[in-house]
Amino acid sequence: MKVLKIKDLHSRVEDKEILKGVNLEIKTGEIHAIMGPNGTGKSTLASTIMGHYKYQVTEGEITLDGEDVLAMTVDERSRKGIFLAMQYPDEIAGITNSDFIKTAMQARMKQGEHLSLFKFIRQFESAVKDLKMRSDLPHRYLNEGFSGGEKKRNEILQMKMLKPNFAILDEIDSGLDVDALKIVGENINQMRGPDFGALIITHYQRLLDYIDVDYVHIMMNGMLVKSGGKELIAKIDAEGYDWLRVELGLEEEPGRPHAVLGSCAFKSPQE
Amino acid sequence: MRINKDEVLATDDEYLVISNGQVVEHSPHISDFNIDRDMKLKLFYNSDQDSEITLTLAPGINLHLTEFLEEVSDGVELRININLQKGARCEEVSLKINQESSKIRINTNIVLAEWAYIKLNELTMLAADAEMKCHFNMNEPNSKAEIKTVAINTAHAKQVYNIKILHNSSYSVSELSSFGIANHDSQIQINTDGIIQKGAAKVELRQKTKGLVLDSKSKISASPVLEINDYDCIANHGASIGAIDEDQLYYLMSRGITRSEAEKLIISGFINPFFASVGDEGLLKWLQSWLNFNI
Repeated sequence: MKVLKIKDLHSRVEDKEILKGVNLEIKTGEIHAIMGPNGTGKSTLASTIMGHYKYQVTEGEITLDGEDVLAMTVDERSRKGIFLAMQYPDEIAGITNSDFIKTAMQARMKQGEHLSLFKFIRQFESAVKDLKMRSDLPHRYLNEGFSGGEKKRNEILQMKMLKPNFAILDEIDSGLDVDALKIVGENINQMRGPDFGALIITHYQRLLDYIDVDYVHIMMNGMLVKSGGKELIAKIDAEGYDWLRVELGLEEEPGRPHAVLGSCAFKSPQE
Repeated sequence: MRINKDEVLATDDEYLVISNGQVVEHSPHISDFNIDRDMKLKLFYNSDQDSEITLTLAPGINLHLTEFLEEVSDGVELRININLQKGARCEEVSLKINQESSKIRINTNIVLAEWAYIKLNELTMLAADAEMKCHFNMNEPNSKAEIKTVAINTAHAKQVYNIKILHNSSYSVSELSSFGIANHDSQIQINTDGIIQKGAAKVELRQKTKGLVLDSKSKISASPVLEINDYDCIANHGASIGAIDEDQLYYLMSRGITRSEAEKLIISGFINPFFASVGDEGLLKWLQSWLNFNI
């Protein structure tokens, strides 16, 4: 069993502190879900665990089986078994999906070991079939020209190929229609096992209808403010988050400032 | 590292070796620049003085053309004309690779008649200052040109690319993608002009330029220009130039790929669409080893 431990994690982007002391422990074999209103730091937590360059950890620690994750580069974190399915995967022209995944799989192998092309093709074709994706996927450039749903399924395909110990799925349900949601949910469930743990970040109950979640956490104001079981999902779906604000005495976070779009005919209030 | 003719010639290829504009060596079934039947043709150029050749494709023929630039002396201007007569089709791979420190100019002029079609994939890797001009004249209706150029400058030199597409007739179509990679204190200037003449209605013209700058001293500039003189046309262009995108690097690294491998992948992504157009395995191997060595 492996353990990913997050202790009193504070993280900021530019001058804004977003995570204000997150504590969480995930073991392989467990599936956790984080829910919460917009702008409370869910995606920041995912990006901070993966090591995105824009997020700066100011306090706290992340360890993987006692090893300091924060001291690792992004690629080292991945090779140690952490995977992030991104909310907005990048498009990279000129690199085919198969070349990309082959390179990522080869990067996990010991020096002198080589990826078996036969095994790779068999595994890739099977994953494409499981996710009901287009058969020309290996030859398409990485996420280029993909629909929103195809991009999300491609993230799950990478997860299946790379077989991480811990997968963080950042709003993997956004942009998916009902059928695709079911396919993605089933494929995440198939990964469940003693060597796999997951942290699912979502706004809605609908993905969790297909995934058997062990723990549910609510994130507000940059902290995990409540944890529980599946009963929390139904309560949030029925009542939203206001009851929790009242229960915990939390103030609503200031919203993002509204932008005013001007035009040739725009007149500012001072004029 | 030079192209060895014997390494890149396949058994069913015809070939011409051209020195100073004259054919000095050829395969049994071709001896001049008039192409009057379907064929796979490889051209090898070398020149120590200004020279000009004109290749003419007879109506309706299909030509698979591969061009190799061998030795070109300092200061030389090379003029290459390709005339495609009615319905002629040409799929061309052009390799302008010259590792000698000669400053050269190459002017290519392509003329398309009615229903003529050219698909040009060009890779340029020169070791000195250069001025490259390539003009496409879409002279008659329903002519079509698909052009993909990749310019790699790692030579501490300034290289200028002027690509002009002139739509002189209705219902003609052109698509141009120009890519540039600059490294080792080098400069690339890519000027692309798309001109739709008066009377050339229903034209489609699309152009894009992308530049990848690999060190802080190198520079790429793009000047995309559209001139549209008739109605009812589709015309667009765009250009983007920058260093390797940090977000793309992050994405690749988040799958366990090291930073240097991720950089290589992104650079190869600029060149791969060109490689995809080269069917010749031997040639591909040669090119890939050249790139690994030079970038």
